[in-house]
Amino acid sequence: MGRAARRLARIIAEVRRTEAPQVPVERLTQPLLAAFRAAAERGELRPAAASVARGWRLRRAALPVLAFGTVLVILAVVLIRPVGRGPDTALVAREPALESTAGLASLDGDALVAGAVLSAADRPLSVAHARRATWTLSPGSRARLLSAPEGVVHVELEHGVLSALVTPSLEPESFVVQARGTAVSVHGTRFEMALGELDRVTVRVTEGVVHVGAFGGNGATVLRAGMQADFVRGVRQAETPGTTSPAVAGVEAMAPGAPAPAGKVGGGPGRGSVPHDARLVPPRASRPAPPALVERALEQVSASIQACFRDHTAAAGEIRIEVSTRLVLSVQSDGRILTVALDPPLSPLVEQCVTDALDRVELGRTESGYRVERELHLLR
Amino acid sequence: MKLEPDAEDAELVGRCRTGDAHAFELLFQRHRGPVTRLVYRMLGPSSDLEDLVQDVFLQVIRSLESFRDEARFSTWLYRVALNVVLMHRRAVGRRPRLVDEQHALPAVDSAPSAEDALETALRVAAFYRVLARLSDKKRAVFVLHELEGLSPARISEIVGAPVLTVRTRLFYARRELSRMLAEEPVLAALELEATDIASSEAPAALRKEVE
Repeated sequence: MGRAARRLARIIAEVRRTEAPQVPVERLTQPLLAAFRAAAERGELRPAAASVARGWRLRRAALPVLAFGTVLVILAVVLIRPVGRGPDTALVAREPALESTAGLASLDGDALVAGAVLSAADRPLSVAHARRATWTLSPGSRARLLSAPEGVVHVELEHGVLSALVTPSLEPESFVVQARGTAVSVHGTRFEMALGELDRVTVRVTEGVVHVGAFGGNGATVLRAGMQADFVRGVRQAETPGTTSPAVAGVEAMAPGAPAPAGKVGGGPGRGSVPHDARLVPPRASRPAPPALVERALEQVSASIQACFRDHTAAAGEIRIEVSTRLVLSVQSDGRILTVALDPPLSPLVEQCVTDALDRVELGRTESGYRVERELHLLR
Repeated sequence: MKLEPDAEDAELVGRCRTGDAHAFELLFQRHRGPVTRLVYRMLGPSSDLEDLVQDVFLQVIRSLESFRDEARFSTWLYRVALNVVLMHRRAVGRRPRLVDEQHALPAVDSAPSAEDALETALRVAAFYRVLARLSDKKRAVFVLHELEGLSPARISEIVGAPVLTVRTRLFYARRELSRMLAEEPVLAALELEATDIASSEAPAALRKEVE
């Protein structure tokens, strides 16, 4: 153990022995109990399932009113036209769709405390978390900000429709939306989520990839750009071919993919994808990315990975180390890298190096972005 | 802090959802110590400690409906506490900082003499100053692993990142801290003894996971 490591170990031991100050229990208990009782009186302590069941009984009693409300929500949702370019860390504040929406109210999400409940009354409400995500509530929608630590923005959609533009990140997820037991986890994408009757949640992905599953559960359904599906408490529901929820109409789909010089190109609508509803918004035809551009991108990324592997892989003497891994590269239309995946993964040091090296790389603009895979053979 | 799955927690949470205030009081009593320690270690000596502990449990009340039974309550509580601390740090960063001399030095109870106690307190305070310079992500995994003794797998559940990412952050946190400690006069002069105190005092499970 080196001198610096021993110094660190020594101070850690001292800090471990340090007792945290005592907080005055009596002074905390009474306000907390008062808050608890108030929450209990408002019925805010029940789990989501109980709330839904209670809500359904109420709906049955007031069906005509709810039917009218549903019509209003659908009308509001159909009017949303979030059309824009791919996610861009520098463009969060000047996202075209947000700017072009008249009367849009906007909030600084980083200034909100966890637990804040946000409602959009008669105009859309946009919440921006700097360099992470911007999400918008359609009129008549309501959401609660569960947490917004540095890495992950966690929102619960309580009513209506939420659309989100999430800044690309190499983290496993940077934005989570949950609604009645269904959770959508994303990192760098554009998607919409609409609450339907009972626990039905519609998710439509415009760019990138999202994982949809039961909140807190392990399994997840992967939805890619251009796909839409309904879920009930995280479980995908049977599809109705050719149907498109009005709640998620009006969005442009990312191109299914681009030809690659080598390897398979992914990212297109797969099994279960739902075609666009031409009656609402004709899908824009998109040209595939030029093969030469894709090849240059692959070469640039591969070179960075190779350099990181060479610099951060320990080797004794002249021993030659060779590793094969599959690179999956997703690039946005503006040339920024959406995701880089290596399967099997490399060491944490190498992956951190790759993350740093590709952080600000731009690979050339294309009409709709692309996703490409390639086998890499790395040498040390 | 032991964060093993606890049926008693689940039962108390269930009772809380029925509006049982006594159950919530028991839940608070059970977890206020670990929560206070985590907040303190994340924040360092601060006059805001009491407010933040209260905020954590207020947040628990607000979010209890969203807590799912399949998750461990203690894991969820740790996540809530971390979020509250990070939100607080973000808010504090936007306004002038007030220094409370009363909280400037931590209490160290195991030093053999008053002089040693003071030196140790100075070192610990210096360490927290250095720790505060780490990014939130790295500081969180460092505190949870090195000071709280949690495994990377458990930390990954709390911070919502893969185990690999947790280990990477831990690696860089240690490296940055080692470098920064050398630049801190109080800590740079730290006498290095032949015995490795940290290794001898770390929980067995922790030592195993670190390596």
